[in-house]
Formats: sequence, C-alpha cells, structure tokens
Amino acid sequence: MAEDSVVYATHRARLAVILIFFILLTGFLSSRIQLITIGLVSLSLVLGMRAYVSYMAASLRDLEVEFEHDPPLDAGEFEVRVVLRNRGLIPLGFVEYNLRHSPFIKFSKGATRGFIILPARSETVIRLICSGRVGRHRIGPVEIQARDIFGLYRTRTFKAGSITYIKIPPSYSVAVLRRLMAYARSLGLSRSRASGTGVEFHSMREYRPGDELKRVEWRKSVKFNKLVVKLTEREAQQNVYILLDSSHIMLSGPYARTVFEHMARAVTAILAYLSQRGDNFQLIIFGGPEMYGMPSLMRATRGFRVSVENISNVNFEEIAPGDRVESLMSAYKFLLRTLRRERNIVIIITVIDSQEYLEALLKISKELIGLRNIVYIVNPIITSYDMVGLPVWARGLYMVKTYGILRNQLNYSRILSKEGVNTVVVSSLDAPFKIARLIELHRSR
Amino acid sequence: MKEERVKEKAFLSIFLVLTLLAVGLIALAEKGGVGVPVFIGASPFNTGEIGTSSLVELLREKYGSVYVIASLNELDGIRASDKCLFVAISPETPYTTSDSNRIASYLARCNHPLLLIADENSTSNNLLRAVGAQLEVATVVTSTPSNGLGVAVYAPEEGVYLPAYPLSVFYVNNTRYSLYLDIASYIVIHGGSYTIFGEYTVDTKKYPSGVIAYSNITFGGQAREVVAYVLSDGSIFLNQVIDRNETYRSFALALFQSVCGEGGCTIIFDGSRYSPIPLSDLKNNLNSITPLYLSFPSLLGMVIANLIHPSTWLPPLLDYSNKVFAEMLRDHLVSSTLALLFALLAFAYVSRREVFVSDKPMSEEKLVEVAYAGNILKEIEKGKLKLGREDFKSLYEIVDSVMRDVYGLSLRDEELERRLSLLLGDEKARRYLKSMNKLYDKAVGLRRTPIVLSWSRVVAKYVRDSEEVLSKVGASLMRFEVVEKLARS
Repeated sequence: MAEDSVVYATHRARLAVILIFFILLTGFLSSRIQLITIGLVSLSLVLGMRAYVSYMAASLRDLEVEFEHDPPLDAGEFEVRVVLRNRGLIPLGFVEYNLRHSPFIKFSKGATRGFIILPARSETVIRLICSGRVGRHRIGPVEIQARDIFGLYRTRTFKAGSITYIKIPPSYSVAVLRRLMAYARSLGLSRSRASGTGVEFHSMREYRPGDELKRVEWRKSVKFNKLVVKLTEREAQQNVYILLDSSHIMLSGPYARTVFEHMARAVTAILAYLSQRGDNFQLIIFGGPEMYGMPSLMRATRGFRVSVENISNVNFEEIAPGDRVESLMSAYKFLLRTLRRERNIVIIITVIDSQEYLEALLKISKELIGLRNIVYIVNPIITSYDMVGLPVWARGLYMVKTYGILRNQLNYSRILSKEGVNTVVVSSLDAPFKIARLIELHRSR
Repeated sequence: MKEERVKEKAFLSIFLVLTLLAVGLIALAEKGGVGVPVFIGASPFNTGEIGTSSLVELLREKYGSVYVIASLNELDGIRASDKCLFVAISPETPYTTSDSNRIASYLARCNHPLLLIADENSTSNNLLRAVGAQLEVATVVTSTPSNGLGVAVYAPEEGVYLPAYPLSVFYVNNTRYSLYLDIASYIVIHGGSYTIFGEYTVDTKKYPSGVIAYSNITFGGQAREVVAYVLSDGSIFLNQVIDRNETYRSFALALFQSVCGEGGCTIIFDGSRYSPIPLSDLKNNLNSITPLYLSFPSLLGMVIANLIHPSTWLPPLLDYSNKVFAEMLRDHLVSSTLALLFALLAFAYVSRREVFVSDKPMSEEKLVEVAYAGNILKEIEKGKLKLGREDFKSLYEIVDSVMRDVYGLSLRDEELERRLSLLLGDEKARRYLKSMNKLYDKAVGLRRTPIVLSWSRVVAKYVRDSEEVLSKVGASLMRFEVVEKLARS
C-alpha cells in the first residue's frame, strides 16, 4: 500500500485534519456557523494542498535529470553539475533533492542535499565541486521529493537520473618525474652501448629526413658543411611487473591520502618514468572483487595509458574486507601466465598484516626468485596514513597505542628480508624514488 | 487494483443494504406494531380451545373461498358469487341495525343469500330481523349456584330452568346427530316459513335448537330469498369439539354441505364481533389469557413478533438516545469530548486510505573513511582512550629508539642525561630519565615501585613530557616522520 502511493500525508496533516474535524463537529454541535466556516475553509485548503502535491508527484516522475562534470582531477577539484529539467506547466516548489553518490567521494562545495524550486518549463543546474580521488566513483541517482507549503503532504521519493561513473586517473607530479629521470641518469648505470633514445653520447652521422631538429649538431655541421646529427646511446630495456594491492586495508588513511591512493600515484609516476625510458611494464591491481590487469607487458605511451585506465577503474565501493591471501594468489597466477622468461623485476606493493599473508607472500617471492626474477616487496607503513587524519594533539597517543601494529609490520618486513626477499618499507614521501632506485639498480646489472 | 474495486463495490452494497434496512425499519415503525391481537371467544381467529379457527380451516379445505373478516368494511372487497353464506358463531358484540343492513345488502348481491347463526345469546337477533327471518334466539340467564357446582340456566320468558348441557338431536341430510349443547338457549319461532332440524327436550317439552327460516328481502331494488340457519348454541363448532370429536366434525361438515351444497359457495365468517386483547395490552391481560383463547406457541410467537417489531423498540430507542445526547450536549466538556471522539472517528474513516509517514529529511551520503586501527581513532575522538602498561612500554621504546637514532644512546645511558641536560636543564633531564626508567621497570615487572594508580594518566602525562623532550632533540611523536625513522632503524 505504502509502496504504491505517490503522495504521503505527514504527521502535520494528521494533526491538521483531526483539528479541522474537531472544529467542524464543534461547530455542528454548538450550531456556530463561524466554526463551521473556518473548518470548511481549512479542509478545502488541506485538500487543495493534497491535489497540488499529487500534481507535483506526477511532474517529478517525469522530471529529466542529467549529470555532467568537468574533466576529473585526482587530488584536485572539478565541477559536477546536476541538471534538472521541468517540462511541466506548473512550477514545482519545495522540492527536496538528495544526490546519491559513492560514499568514498566528497564534495567540497555545493550542497548534495537541499531544497529547490523548479520553475515551469525550465532547466535548473545544481553545481557541486568534487574533491577528486583516484578510482571509479558513482554519481547518482538523485532522490527527489516535494512538499506543499505547509508540509502537510509530500510525494514519494523518486529516483531520477541514471547512475554515472566518474573515472579519475591518478595524478603524479611532473617534478617527481623529472627528479626520477635525473636520479636515474645520475646513476649512469643505464647504458646499453647501442644508439637509440637516451642521454649518453653514442656517435654522429649525416642528417636524414625524419631526424629530430634538436639532434642537429650545429658546430659540427658548419665544420663539415653538411647537416650532422648526434646519436645517443639507447638505454637498457627492462621488464617490470608491478602488483598493486587494492584490498580493504589499503584504503586506510584520510580522504585522498589513503595507502592505495599514495601507492597508485607513486606507481603512476614510476610507470610514466618507465614509459619514457622505453621499458616494458605490466601493472596488475588485485585485492578487490575484480582484478584489473594489463593483458601483457606493454611499453611507452600506450602502456602508460592502459595502466592509468586500470587504476582509474578501481571502485572503492566494491572493495570489502575479504580473503587477501586468495586475492594475492589469483594475481600471482595471472602474473605467471604473462611472465617472460627473462630476468624481470617484480614489485609487489602490499601491506602485510598477518602471518598467513606473510607466508603466502614469502612463497610467491621464493617461487619468482627461483624463476630468476628480481622480487621486491614494497611495504607501506600503514599506521602513518591513519595518523595523517588525526589532530596533532592526538597523534602522540595514537602512535603509542599503535606502536605494536607498527612493530608487527616492521617485523614482517624483517622476516621477509631474513628469508632473502628484498623488502622495502616506504612512506608516501619516498615511495616513487625508492621504487625507481630498485629498478635502476637492476637495470645496470 | 481489482481488489480495491471489489472492496469499493462491497462498501457500496453494504451502504445500500444498510440504507434500505434503515428505511424499512422506519417504515415499519411508522406503520405500527404487530396488528394481530389475542382473540377471545368463538372468534374464527382464535386458535385456542374455544375458538372456531379449526372449523374455518376444515371448510377451507373443502370450499376454498372461505373468508374471515375482522371488520364489516371488508365485505366490500369480497366478490359476490352464486351462493353467499354469512356465518356468525356466538358473536359477543350485538349486531346493530346498521351492521345488519350492511350484511343484508352484501348478501343481496348474491343469487342465493344464506345465513348461519349459531348463538346462545340474543346478540344476533337484529341480523335475523334484518333478513326478514321471523326467529329469535331466546334470552337466557346463567348463574352459578351458591354451592359453586355447575351452572344454572334460566329462561325468563318461559320461567323455567333449562339444563346446562342439553342433548340435542339434529337431522341434517337425513342423518341424525345427537349433540350435547353447552349452556344453550332455544329458538323462538314467531311465524313465517321455517323448518326445525334440531331440538332438545326438557321435561317432555321440546325446545328448538336448530331452525331454518326462509324469508324474502329486497335490497337495492333486488328481491332475494334468504335462507337462515339458526342454531341456539355456538359451542358445537368450537375447536375443542371439532378437533377431537368426529361426530361434531361430521355434523358441521354435513350442515355446511346442506347449506352450501358441493361448491360455488362463498363462506364469510364474521370475526368482527369479538373484542380482541391488543398485544400492547397483553401484559395487563396476561392472567386472563388461558389456553381457551390461545395456544402457548401462538402466544409466544405473538410476544416475540411484538418485541422484535421496530415499532416496539425503535421509537423508544431513538427517543432515549435523543434525550441522552441532548443531556450530554448540555455539558460543555462532554460535548467537546464527543466532538473530539467523532473527529477522530471521521478522521479514521477519511484517512483509511491515506498513507502517513514521518516527515524526515532525506539521509545524506556519509563519507566512508577506512582506518586500520579504527577503534583506536574512535576512542581518541570520544576521549575514551584507555592506556595501560603496554602503552607505556611502547612509549619508552619509541623514545629510546629516537634517542638511539639521534645520540646513539639508550635512555639508560648516563651520557644521555648529560646530553639532555644541555637542552632541558639538569634537574628536568635527570627527573625525566629517572622516571621513565623506573616506570618502564615497573611496566615490565622488574620492580614494584613507584605505585601507579592509573596507568592511563601516567601514560598520557609521559606522552606530553616525551613530546617536549623529543621536540628539543628535533623529533616529535606527533609527526609521522618519526614512524618512518623507526621503520628505517
């Protein structure tokens, strides 16, 4: 019954109708025409309000709702617009709207819930500023209900507009990338002794159509009286496999600064660096109900684009606490299917939180090492992420209280190291450089 | 939807039925109560012992067109036929001249008017005169002797006492019937054409108890020969003998057969000559009602019919409720309460299809933030974080790790006290390190003192103190870089 009705009476209507009947009956019993008149006028008003709300219910059902948004930004703000079109001839007043969205996304400006008036034959736009974060986030539908001016009646809650997903790719600082490049070159261990893309001088030759103008060596060209270009040494190519954990524990931390998001940004910076270096890479994101993985090793811009697309597909809403070991093993099986029989670098970015998980990780690592791969476990310090969201005065207490957790986590890393698995404990500050260093160290070998 | 339509129709039907019921009840109440009273005497309506209803039923089986009238006015509605027989048995109310003329005028409409009077009183003599019969039923006086036994019947005109229950002999259709009469009179014949068909003997003197008189009347310009059968006692037609005695039943049938023949006869029993007891007055006359007048089931049926009739209960009910309502409305409080009650009822009826909801704003989407140690964060937020011995050990280890990292010295090293005294002052550095070490020893169970009443307060205090100390050495518990330092160490 309640589900079928489109107009509901509120508790105010109940009180009003009882009062009106009371006035009417008192008027009849005491033969006071004034009371009867007041009662009848009030009753007409109440019935009128009901009729108006019924009309609004019909109009709300036909309301057109669309979602628009500017290009989304990770760790930045972008505008989301909810467009409501009232095609009816009567304005809709006191319309309460409530934008449903993923609970993992927040709006820094604009109200996701409020009251609006929708003029007749009009288009109303609700503008919201969304604080972006990595992943795929749901926007919509909009829940809409309307009331009369006295709040006696209200319509059923209608859901308008189809669900829209905003995919936000992880951001990385260009400065970080430059520093990575500079860092790698400073090592000077990426030489391949063959001409190609690189910075180290290899040889000179005569200009051929298609050569980049910036490669023209003007001094030598004047000397030889012909255009001469400088060839650089092609840098060594490396296969890099990155397994990024996106399980529930990786979502720890304040908004947009969770472990997963930090690691996603770090990985993106690394992948950008690798793509510019001409390395092959494959990103596998595990831990959620769905595994997002590049089908095989890829390189350059295409590889980077696919990997970023994969990261931006992670839907936080779908991630629930579950069996992490099983998820890790699935990712490992997937990796084995695409792993090349070369000396690859495999980087597993995950938080170790239990003995069982540690053992699974150890098993995988040993198997991969047995296949002559170089394995690195990157272990983000999880409690440090929780601390970011805390007020300063409470951090000391929190640190004391969670010191046991930190100790355990560090202990797991030490166990891995003792077992011969390279383990790196990282924080959000140094993650990209530490990972880049690992890759570069082994490229030169 | 279909179900709602069915409900709607059901509601309409119920409403119509109730309306019709109300209309019917009001109509019945307006028409009046049950019209059937308790008939006494030899009334053809009387189903009791001394009624004549059995005779009526007996004749109906044979002739069909047998009518019982409660008023002479009903004669106008009875179709005249070839033979019309008007029957009066022991009438209690005398026929007036007007009544008699009315009956005579009806009979004159028939080809063969017939009259049958069985009367032990002179009540019907006027009727006999009206039809020109030169007969009359003699007046007798009955009395109860002083000894209280039997009944004395005195004929003043003859000056003799007659037997109360004489045996009379009747000849009908050449058949002899010997019947006992009950406190009978006799018929006085003044002349005219007549035939005696019944008589009884008292002391050798014969008294006619059944006479047929032939007379002519002219009414409305029409001349008719009226045959009047007169019997000096009506008791031979009563239910008590008709129902139980074959002789009396045979006599009655034979008599009516001789009067009416085999068919084509309209028989009219006069039921207007008896004073019925109205049902409304039944209570006052209950003692006088005996099985002679009414059988018990009939009486019970009448009482129930009277009770359930709307005229009995509807007007008093309405009157009573009206009075109660009017009385109640005089009180302001009661009238207000009533108004409120009716308002609630009206509201309940009107709003039976309305869906009422509590009007609350829609729930906003709440941001979900995952915390690895979420319970600790919540406890901190609520100010309910409990700290214990283990937490002090953690604090000690953190500070110790930082000191090892910064100075390469543990908290137990005396050199550290010297180093810290440069930053904190001698007394403060000494006291801090001493307290930390003592409390740590207590926390790990190496010593019993100092006495700690609340570890929670102690830990909170030393977190603050340690923060102050660490800030002097360029570290802080409040910066997570310390955690990283610990991780690196």
